Amino acid sequence: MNKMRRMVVFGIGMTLAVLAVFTAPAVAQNIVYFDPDPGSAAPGETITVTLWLNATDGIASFNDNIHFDPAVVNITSGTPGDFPAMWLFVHYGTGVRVGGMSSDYLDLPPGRHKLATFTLVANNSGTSTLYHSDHKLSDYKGVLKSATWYNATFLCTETFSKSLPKGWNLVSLPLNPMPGKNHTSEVFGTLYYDAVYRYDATSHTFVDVTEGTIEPGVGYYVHVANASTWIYNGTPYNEMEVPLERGLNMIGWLNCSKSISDALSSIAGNYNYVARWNTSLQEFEVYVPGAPFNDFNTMEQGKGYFISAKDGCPPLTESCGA
Amino acid sequence: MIICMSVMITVLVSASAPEVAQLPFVISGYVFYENGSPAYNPDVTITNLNTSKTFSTKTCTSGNYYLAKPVLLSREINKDDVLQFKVAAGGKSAVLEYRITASDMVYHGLHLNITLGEGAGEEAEEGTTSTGTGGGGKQTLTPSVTPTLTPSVPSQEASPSPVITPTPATATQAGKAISTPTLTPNTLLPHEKGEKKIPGFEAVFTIAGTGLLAIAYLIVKMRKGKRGVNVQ
Repeated sequence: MNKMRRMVVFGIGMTLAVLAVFTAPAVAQNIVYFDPDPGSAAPGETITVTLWLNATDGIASFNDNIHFDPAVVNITSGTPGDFPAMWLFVHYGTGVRVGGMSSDYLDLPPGRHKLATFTLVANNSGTSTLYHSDHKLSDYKGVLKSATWYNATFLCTETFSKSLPKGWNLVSLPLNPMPGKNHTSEVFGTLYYDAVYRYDATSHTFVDVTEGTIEPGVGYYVHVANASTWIYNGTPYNEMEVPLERGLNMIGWLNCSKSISDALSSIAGNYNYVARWNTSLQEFEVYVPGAPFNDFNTMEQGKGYFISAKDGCPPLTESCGA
Repeated sequence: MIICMSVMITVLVSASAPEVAQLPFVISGYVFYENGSPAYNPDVTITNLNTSKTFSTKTCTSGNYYLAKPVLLSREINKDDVLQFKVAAGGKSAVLEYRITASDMVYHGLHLNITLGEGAGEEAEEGTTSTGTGGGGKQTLTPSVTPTLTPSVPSQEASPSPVITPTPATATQAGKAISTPTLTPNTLLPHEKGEKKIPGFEAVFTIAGTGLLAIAYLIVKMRKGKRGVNVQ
């Protein structure tokens, strides 16, 4: 009998526990985010970025610090959206302080509300995070409301342009493609091409990436069907660390030009030669370290190269600033 | 009609397909006299004896370096191709043959230092293959040419590439001139590779099969015997 009672009590307890879980009120999830994210512009250009609130609570006011890298971007102005009362916009060099209240000082209902609209000016090529600090949302009573504040990315992009003659061209990406824009057809979209290959140094075979994605640091053979100009946008590829297999490697280069002895100092003594393809002459040109004469002496942005690496060759590490 | 169409399709496909992307093969090195001094401004002609294609080379008057215009791999050079180096400097000339090795193919290059012999009819002295690209290959001298070229001592890098047949082997190892040496690929026939097999493998199978058959026979016999007992 006692056992029976225990079982009944246990059953009731479990039922109540399950009910408690399902009937608990959902946790409020206010979200603050930038749009567009990432934002991008060329040096000197201006774009507008909006700060939005997706509210699940009634909200009457907000405050926020937004930080950025002034070498890359500057927020030059901020205009109010749905919280115009007591509007605050203060610039302090590496960030801005913004805030405001609803026009009637009462809660705006749950839903999508515009917090502010900012004007961003791109300074120099690079990437800057727009990140929040000291932020808060509150209702008309001053009760703080929790929220998720999403940071954003701003890309100060460059445009790379290079004329490619008909035939095979050995190239590489001097710019990181825009996020999500690294498909071959997007990067080489301005070219009349019909084949793109990279070289697999392990299997010693070409890999067809005509319908794939491409990345900096890798050399690509692009077969141009008609002479055309390659134009694309991105952020500078200024640092590289590329592993090299024994034998032939087809690599990319950075967004700068350097003498080969300097460019390949990280693998000095560990490679036999560097070669590049001259499309116009349909022949290779070569640099042999230590040789009294060579066909070329600099590594240039936009070009791809073959490196014959010796056994145990370390990764090729280099940066434009070094 | 069908044949005509297939021919047309073949022509169209081949016309639209882009030509093959190329890989480089770089041949370079230094030329020395027998006494170790550099042979300045050498005249180096390299010919692929398998294709009769001659590769142009560049040298400089003030140096002993030579560099062939990079060769297109597969189209102009392949493994086991024999390259003939005709070298002349300071009134001396020589001919050297070199077989492209697997190691050369891995590095896509051959760095071959060449030493010119002293006088006509003399045995050529040891040359040096490079420590850079290639170097795994072995060279043979083509005799009859006055100051002959020396073969290099092969580097230690193991390579499944050609070996010089011993005629005489000691001379080869010493880097001395060899009379009409020939190159033979170091490719062993399957039976020469020493593939490991279990000795008497077939016999074991035979014994096991016979045993199984015997056991089956005994079982059948026993069952028949049992039936006989039951009938009685």
